[in-house]
Amino acid sequence: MLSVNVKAPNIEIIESAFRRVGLSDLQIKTYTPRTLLCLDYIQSTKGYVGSTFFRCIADKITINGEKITYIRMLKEALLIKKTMNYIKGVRPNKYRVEETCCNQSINITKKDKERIDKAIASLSEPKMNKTLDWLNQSLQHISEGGVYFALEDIPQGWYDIPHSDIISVFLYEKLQNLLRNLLISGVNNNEDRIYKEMLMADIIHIENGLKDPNLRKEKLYLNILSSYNKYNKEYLSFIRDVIDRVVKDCKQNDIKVACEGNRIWSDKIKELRQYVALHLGSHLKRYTQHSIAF
Amino acid sequence: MSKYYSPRDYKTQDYLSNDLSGKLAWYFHILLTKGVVLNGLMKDEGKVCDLYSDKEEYEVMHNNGSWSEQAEFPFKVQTIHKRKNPEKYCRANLDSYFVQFREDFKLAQVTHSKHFFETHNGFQAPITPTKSKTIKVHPIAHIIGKVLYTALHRVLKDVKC
Repeated sequence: MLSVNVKAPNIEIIESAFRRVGLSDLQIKTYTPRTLLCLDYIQSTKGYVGSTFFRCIADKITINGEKITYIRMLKEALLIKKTMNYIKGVRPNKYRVEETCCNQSINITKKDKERIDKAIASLSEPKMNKTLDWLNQSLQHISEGGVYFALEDIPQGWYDIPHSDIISVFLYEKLQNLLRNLLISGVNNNEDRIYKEMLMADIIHIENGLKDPNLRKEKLYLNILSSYNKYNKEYLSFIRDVIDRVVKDCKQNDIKVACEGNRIWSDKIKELRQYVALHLGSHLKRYTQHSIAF
Repeated sequence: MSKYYSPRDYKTQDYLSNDLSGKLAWYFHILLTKGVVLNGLMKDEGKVCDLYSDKEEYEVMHNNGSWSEQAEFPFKVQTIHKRKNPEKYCRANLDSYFVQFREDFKLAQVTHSKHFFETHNGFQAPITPTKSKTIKVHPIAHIIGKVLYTALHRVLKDVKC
């Protein structure tokens, strides 16, 4: 047994919370010390921890015949609360300890110590990123703020697809959803009617742009894309998802590809367009028979 | 040297010591290397780039979170705060550059505003040979920046702003 000082909710609060969730006495005895260590870590840091962190501390727990994850058990016991959602390639979930913390001395086993050490170590392990691995085969890249950046200049003779093409599809899908929700809830007043007209006008404009690449280059078209501030940054995750899928296809077919912040590049434009259209088409098929034209 | 302050802890004192010393260092660097007298040194116009001539403008950054996140200067990616959206922050008729000093003012990373893209961290630009320059700050300008920064930081430390 080791004696350590932690700042965490009182041990009795944790035990009663576990009892409320339905843990047996033996389970409470097992999970209380490592939960104290876990909560001590979360409250003493900014609380950015992913699911691996919790998996390292405890595997699935059987409560009343049902197997649940450790993180779910902590949430159900109202010991932690998620305060921020993860963003792929940027940050993991952020958690906050819900109960008041106090300094206390607890006894832990060697195994508990190993578990928390492994969990903390898992946070600094480099993450596997297959997209980045393949991008680096062509040019050196870095993933920052959820965006892939080439750290070398794009070779001459390569062709590009601007991210605005991908944003068009993102926005088309979003606006179609908005319109559908508006129609379901009913257009009751003048304000709704004006909003509906505005939405429809933008949808038609974007749809025309999807069919005509020249239209997509027009300033008015780009202004529509930038006028929907409520989707601020959500589009970044959409672009990243599309790029991840396109790069996966490129890797399978041994095609060089690079990303430059607002464009995706390749030396084989036909294939690049084909893969981009394929993945964007899967988003469009609910609303239109067309895919994006290049 | 200076610390990284999260936005909540970023005090007026820190802003003054970082901003003024950075502006002065870049003002003298441009004066001594190009012979151009920049405007905007003595007043903070807010929500536009710090220093400007009739052709170019510069947004000068000294204190930056990147120091704590990306240890080595020059950074692989130059970062600017989300409030400094180049489309809104830069004067339309000028060539705009974002200048990121190293902590000791000896080096500065200079990148044109057109190379910045929105990311989850604000606006960022990849540093490639054609897009960005890492320059050695003129020795006099670097000393001015460093001395002023140290002095202001010490003087303003206990001042309530």
